[in-house]
Amino acid sequence: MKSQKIIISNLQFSTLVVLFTVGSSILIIPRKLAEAAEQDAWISAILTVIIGLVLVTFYSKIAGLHPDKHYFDCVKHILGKWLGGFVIAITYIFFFFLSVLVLWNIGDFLKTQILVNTPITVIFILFMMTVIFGVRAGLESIARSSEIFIPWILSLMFLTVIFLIGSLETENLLPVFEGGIQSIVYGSYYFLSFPFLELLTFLMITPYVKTKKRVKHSFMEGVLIGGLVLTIAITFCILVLGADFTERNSFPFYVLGKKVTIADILERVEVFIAIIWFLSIYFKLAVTVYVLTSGLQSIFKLKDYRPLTLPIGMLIIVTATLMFSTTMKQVEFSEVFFYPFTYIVCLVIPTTVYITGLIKQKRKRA
Amino acid sequence: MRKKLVLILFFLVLLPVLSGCWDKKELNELAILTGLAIDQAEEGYRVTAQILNPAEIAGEAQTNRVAVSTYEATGDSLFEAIRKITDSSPRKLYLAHLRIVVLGKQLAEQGIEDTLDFLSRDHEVRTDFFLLVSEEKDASSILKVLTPIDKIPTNKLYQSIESSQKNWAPTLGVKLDQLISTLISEGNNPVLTGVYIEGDTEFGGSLQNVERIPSPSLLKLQNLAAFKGDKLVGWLTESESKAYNYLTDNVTNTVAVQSCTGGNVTIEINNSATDIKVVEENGQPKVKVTLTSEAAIGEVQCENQFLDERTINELEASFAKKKEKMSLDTIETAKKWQTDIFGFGEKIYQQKPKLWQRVKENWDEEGFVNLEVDVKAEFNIKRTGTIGESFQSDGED
Repeated sequence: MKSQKIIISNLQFSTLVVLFTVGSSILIIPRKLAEAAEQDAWISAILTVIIGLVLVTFYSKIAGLHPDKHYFDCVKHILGKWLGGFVIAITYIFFFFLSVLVLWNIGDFLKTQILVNTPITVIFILFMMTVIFGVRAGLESIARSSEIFIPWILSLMFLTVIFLIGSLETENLLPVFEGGIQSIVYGSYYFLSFPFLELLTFLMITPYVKTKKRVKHSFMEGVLIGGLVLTIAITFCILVLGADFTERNSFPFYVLGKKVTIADILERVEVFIAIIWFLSIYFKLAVTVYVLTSGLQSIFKLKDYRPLTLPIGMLIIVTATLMFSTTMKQVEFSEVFFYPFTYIVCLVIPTTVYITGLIKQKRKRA
Repeated sequence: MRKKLVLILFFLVLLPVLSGCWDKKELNELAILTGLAIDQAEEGYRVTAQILNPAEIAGEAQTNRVAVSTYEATGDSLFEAIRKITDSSPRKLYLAHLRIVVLGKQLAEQGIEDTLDFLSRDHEVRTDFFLLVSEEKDASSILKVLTPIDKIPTNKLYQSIESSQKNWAPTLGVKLDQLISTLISEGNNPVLTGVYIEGDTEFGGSLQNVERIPSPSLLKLQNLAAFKGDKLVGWLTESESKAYNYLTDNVTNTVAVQSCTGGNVTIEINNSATDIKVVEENGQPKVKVTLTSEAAIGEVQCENQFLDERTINELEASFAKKKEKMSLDTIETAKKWQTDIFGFGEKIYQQKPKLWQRVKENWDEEGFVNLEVDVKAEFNIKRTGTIGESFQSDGED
């Protein structure tokens, strides 16, 4: 252990939030949204980003209760040892399943689209190895490299969008408001939990941000950019492929990449989209694994989190392989368990924690 | 020092794993599939695959072998048949460069939906190939014709579709995702371009076919096949196909001919726009189509025809009238087949979703057949080409 003090800049915090938001959602959420809200998915997306911004403001408020403590410490401080411990355990399980799902997503995508004959476990192991490598290098290194990669992701995204402008069909958006507000809200239910509610993970990192007063600002910046990228992705899926076709594809945004043809020269750029995904999902997984290991370190008051990276990484790989032996199982797991679970862990519990925290603070002052 | 050694060793072990060779496909182990013909067999499908002969296309010393070969196999499902082709083909088929899929006539009449599932589910197949319907008895014969200019016949077809769609109009390039979208849509039915062999089919497959200036057998695109759901119900004629493309706003450039005293006058249409408005009348939908075309005079053979403002206006009116009639005739044909290939139902859904909920039941059989359609065509002849008056009208006789 060289220095205990980890500091990441506000910009780095924002870029991590952007990558976390984009990661894994960009390929999957267009389908979910189209399923729920059909051609109104874009309205649903915009609505959700706005809600997401409010949500993040709320998260920053929680962080603001005890700026120097991360979420676990904060919960323990506010709810006490036993109740707090229980909440921490549940949240920890949530983080764990989140990592498993993120890893599964990348494996599933590669297995269906690109590396069809490769065993999925091999993909898991290789991807996890790089993640563990990154996590062992520390949060600062992850944050710094996110700064390097973000221009790539944003410019690739920008290029794809530019290339597709020619194939937009505005009629795909009609009729507007067919399913009414109900289906739009239903779409938001999915989109809000995946990825915006998952941003709770970042409350474990806020204490390391350099300028704590501006955490809220950086948080919102990140969500705004990430949300914008996702909204564009969803809207383009609807505009180019139509709601029906978007619904029918497992990875609609990847199919979108296949549609690009500029003057018969620029074709087959779907790899752009795969690159966007690899990079963003790498950072999402790196952040969650970091939080998992450093969280465990703080629970058991260990000196260093690094020795934990390997076992936890292995545990994630094994869980991903065993739990989701088929794609259908994973879909059911998300539908029945994970979405509601996300709402409990990332919305209900934090609200309780925050209110209790406020009451305690007032009492102290009084 | 030892730590470093271990690290180096570790990376060395890692290297072969990281290159992702599990799914490697060496170029010399692949048979690049460019065309697929699917026919109905007694049981299941008969698939004909057209495969590139790379040495003949890119090799330095080109022999007089043919540039492509075809292989056939029959299977209970499309996927099985395609895999079965490895029986006869030297290499495994690689599907990502597929350009053309020709569906057999019989298959099209029975329904094409089952074939499309594999094409959209397989990870190698992209969506950017054109689908055609064979007017020949079996689709496989289409892939057995050699073509001049382009050595790869499917490439020739691909480019023919693109260029004839751009410059002539009675054909339509339909790609997989478009076809599926129209199939799924309740108020829309697909059309596909037909393809047939003109001339002597016997020569088609031999090099002799490309050794003569007029090739004895030629691949030709013709007209549109109208589907009801996923079943072929009829063929539109050339002018109907063109009218179809006007009505669905697929025309970029084409020509139109109108007779006049002493001959014909031809205009080149270089911009066409279709506007479809749905109105509700007595609780029933009514569709108003406005076709606006911008054109230029392309050829004049008329006597005593002066190209002044007044005659141009008359010309515009007569062209418009002809087009209106053509469009209405085409709609009548489709009504006879009870299939809404124009997507009027979808337009009603997009513009009046509530009305659509009321009329969508049995749309093709009742709603569409009784649908009132108003077509209004407008022509704007803006230029007269590089000359003004035709020299014919000045002729002294």
